[in-house]
Amino acid sequence: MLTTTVPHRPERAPVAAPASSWALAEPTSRPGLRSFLAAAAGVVAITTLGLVGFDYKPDLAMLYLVAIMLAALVGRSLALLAVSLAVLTFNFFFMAPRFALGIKDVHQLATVGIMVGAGLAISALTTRLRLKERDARDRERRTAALLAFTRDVVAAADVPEIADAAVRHVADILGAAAAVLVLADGELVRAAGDAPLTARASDVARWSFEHGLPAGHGTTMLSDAHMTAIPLHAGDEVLGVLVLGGAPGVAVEQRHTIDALARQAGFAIGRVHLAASARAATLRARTEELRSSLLSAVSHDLRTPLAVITGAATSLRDDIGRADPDARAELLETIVQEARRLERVLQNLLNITRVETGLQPTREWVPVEELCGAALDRLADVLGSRAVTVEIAADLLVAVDPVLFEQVLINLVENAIKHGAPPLHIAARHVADHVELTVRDHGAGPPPGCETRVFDKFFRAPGSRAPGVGLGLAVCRGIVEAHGGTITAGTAPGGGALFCVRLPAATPPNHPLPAAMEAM
Amino acid sequence: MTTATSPNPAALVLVVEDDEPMRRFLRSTLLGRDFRVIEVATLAAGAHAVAQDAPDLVLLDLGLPDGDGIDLVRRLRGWTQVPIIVLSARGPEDDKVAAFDAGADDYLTKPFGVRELFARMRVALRHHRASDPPDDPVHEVGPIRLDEARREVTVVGATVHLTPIEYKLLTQLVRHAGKLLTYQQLLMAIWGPAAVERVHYLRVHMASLRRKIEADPARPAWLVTEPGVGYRLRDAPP
Repeated sequence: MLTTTVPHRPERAPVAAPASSWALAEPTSRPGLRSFLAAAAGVVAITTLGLVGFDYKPDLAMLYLVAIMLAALVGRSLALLAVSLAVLTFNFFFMAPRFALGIKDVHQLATVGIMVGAGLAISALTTRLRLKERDARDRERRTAALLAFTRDVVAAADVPEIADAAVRHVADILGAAAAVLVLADGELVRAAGDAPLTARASDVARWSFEHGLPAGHGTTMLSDAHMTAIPLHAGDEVLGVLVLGGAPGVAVEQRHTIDALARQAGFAIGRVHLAASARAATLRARTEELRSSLLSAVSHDLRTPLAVITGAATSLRDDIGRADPDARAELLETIVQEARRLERVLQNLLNITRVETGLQPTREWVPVEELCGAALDRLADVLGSRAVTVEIAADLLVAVDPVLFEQVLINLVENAIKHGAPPLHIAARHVADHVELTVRDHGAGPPPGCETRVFDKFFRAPGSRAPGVGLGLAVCRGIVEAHGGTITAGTAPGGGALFCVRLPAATPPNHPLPAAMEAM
Repeated sequence: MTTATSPNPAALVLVVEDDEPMRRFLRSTLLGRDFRVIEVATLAAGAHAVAQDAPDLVLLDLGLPDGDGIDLVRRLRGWTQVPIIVLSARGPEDDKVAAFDAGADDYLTKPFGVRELFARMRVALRHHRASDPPDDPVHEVGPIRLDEARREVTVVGATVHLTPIEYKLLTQLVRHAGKLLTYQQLLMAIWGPAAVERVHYLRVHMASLRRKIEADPARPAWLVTEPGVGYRLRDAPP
């Protein structure tokens, strides 16, 4: 059973002033020893003053009252102490017979009575004042706590963050450990908080969750439990339970604050759930869209070259009026070109599958120049006589998977050939703490507003007539991101598309081999 | 079709391939170039044919019904140095490396063109025949001339000064012009067994060698990279 209060001091900065104690009925100020000594010293000082020669007694009595009032400002017990001390010393030192305790006549009785009465009255008034001020402060703190909670919850992106904020703020308000339980796979599981959960506590939480009512200590249901469970509602639905651990009792005001907090947490969790289901719906729609665009793209991009190959090949086989050697050569060339195109489509389909099933790049230190050279060599046929300029320092090394990264370059250059215009410009250099590789062409540039979408699978620029499935850039992004880098598209100053790959830079291992190995 | 450019018109080629259309294509292409052809569809038949018919060259598909072609390479290398060119539809470069490690001479990824096929076959047959110590210390590949006796390198007639490492690297490449040399083979030949893990040293030296040999080192015409596998010195213009 939760019998002990876990003093929970959050490690994060508290959002409100230090928590008040649990029960608020009586402000229990705890004046330290120093305050007591100060009160005693005050009384002694006044007494000394009287003994030294200040013998106008009513004024002396007034001075004692001042000391009592000051003590009352600190705390009630101190005020009582001051009253007792003042009455005793006044009686002992200044009332005839001096240096003896005792009351000789009605006059003296009245004096002592007035001192006690005035002392108590002052103490009571001051205490009440302090109480009010403290109430106001508490209210302000609760409002601030609630506000802070609202702020945190609005910023929270998921259920654990909301739960975490709730637990933190409950701890700030009550000084008690708390936990938030939410439903996951039919079970109530802890989303945040470290309040201990016994079997009994779990039962109470489940009851509260199922009935949508508070339960446990301080409520009308299962009030024998040593904890309190407050359901988290979003509309009619109960989405979770806030568990207050080991609370000996909750003042009414705090109860209101906690209720308000639970309401807010409930709504926040509801909001996150709604957003998630909206996202899931969008994703489903998007997946459907992707599937249909995949089908149409693949069927178009595989069928078209196949149709050309079939047509050209059957025409050659049947030799229908094509004795002309030029025509034959043209048909043969067409077959070769279309077969290559088919292969590129398939290669990118394979690549996107690899990218999507999770790439594990085998990183090696490679000169960027070599990667670029290999890619351009592979594309020699496609490039033809298009001008390409390359600006890469010979000693610029990157730690990448050479095969995958060659593919990135191939796809970027192919994209520039298909959608841009020559001359192409490829450059790589160190920029701050990363290596930046750019491929630039002199065409129209990416369609405005599509700078990010060009990296989506099956994205085709609106109205684009260029052949392709729209996978090349998606493959690039997948590979670059698997290397911890980023890829962006934009328009180069002066026009043309500018693709920029950024990879985190690292220091290559020392490159020269030991001298002994260099020897011939 | 002309046989004038055929590397060895009488050479016997063993085709180990289970796909009928692919076999038909290879058969008609090879016969068209006056090669003699034996076709088998399984590993077992392949091993048997190598032992019985002593082919001059093996074209081997990797995905065969009775096992992995790489196993056959390993088995054959136990007793014969017959040139083996691996043909495979598989993409990932690990396969290529595994095939080379097992002892394959070269590798062609399907789909490939006939020109590519004959270029690889020509190189493989030439190196097989010349596997005896090189009688001629002078190698000429494209614009590159390397004289091993005089330790002299010229490119388009102009003398090029190479570091000892670069010279060793280029020597390996010109001796095997046209053939793909894996990183491991090059590291082993230049630095010995201790260096086989240090591929990036090789890359750095290769980059500086390109600066001295290639007209445009960023678009090499001769010293080409096979990403993830190794380097090849082209023996003919691209």
